[in-house]
Amino acid sequence: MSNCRTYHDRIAELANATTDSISDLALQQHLAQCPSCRAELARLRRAETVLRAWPLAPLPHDLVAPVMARIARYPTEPGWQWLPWTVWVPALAITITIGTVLAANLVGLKLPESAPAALTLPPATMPIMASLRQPLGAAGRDLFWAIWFGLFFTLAGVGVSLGLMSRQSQLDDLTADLRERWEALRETARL
Amino acid sequence: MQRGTVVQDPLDVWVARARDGDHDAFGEIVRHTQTQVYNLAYQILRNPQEAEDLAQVAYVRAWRALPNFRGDSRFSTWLYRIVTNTCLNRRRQLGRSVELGDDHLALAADGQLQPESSVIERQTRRELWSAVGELPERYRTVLTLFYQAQLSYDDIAASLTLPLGTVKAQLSRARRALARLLERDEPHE
Repeated sequence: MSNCRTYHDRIAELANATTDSISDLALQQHLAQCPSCRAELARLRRAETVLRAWPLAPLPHDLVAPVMARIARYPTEPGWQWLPWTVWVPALAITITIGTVLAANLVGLKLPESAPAALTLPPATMPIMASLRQPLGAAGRDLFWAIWFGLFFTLAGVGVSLGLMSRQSQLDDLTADLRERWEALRETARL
Repeated sequence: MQRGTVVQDPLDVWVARARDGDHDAFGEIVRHTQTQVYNLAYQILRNPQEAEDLAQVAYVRAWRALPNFRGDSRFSTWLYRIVTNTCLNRRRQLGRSVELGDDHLALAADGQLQPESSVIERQTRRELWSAVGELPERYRTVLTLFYQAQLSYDDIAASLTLPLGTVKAQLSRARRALARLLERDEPHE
């Protein structure tokens, strides 16, 4: 029948259901008229029944002793591994900050006395910043810039991390989807 | 058994102890999960020796990674993910040459049946093992996780790092493919 395809998924759901009664009237009517879909439902129900009774095969040998022997050969400490990027991206940002300020000092680069206009703090906080910088002299200037760089790179790093985190599931989906298509292509080629 | 509900994993106590380096607790984990782990490994690799070896390798990896297990998912889901990845990597290395023609598990499972089990029951199980063996590896894997390991759709998705929709679609296709194979194998009168 031409509209069998529209009942495809509902027949599969019905076959997996634990009840034999059909609450979907349209599906009930279609099944009454369509021998092909009735046969498909019977096929799927039989497969479902057999699968629900699918037994676990017994192990040829107990794995406990060989696994524990293998474990005993490995050190208990986990091996070296990458930190998650939610840690290393902000850490890298902070390192760049400190490195930039130190490098500027070593090279003798003259840092501006104050932040550019676009980066200035609200006027109310300026006296506080000035009072913090004043007693420290040149070191105060470096500290001021370190704070600015630190804030900028750390916020940028955290922003990048959060952005990647929100995209993680989409990236996983995309990778899985591509893998699935690739497997389907390979299978088609094999057949 | 109701699927999809959050159930306290009985392994949790052993997992907590094993995370602290308790070998005996990890031994208990192996003892209670080895049959399912072996069956999953076998369904991916279709070779009993490879399945046994890779199940052991997967447990060693699980032991080493245990300090990083944060409990975001059930332990069994996490363990099956390691088993699946370990076996899939091995399978990619070996290709289809790893598969054995005879279905050893079918014969082994036959031995589990009670003597009074009917000929029809034995025949049905043989047909099932044989039909499952003809399915693509990804179909066998989802069927094993759903019907043998009794994982929910969500847990399977987490184990295989696949989207939920893909898991449902794969299971549906796997059931249809299996249904056709079982019908083909049915004795015709």
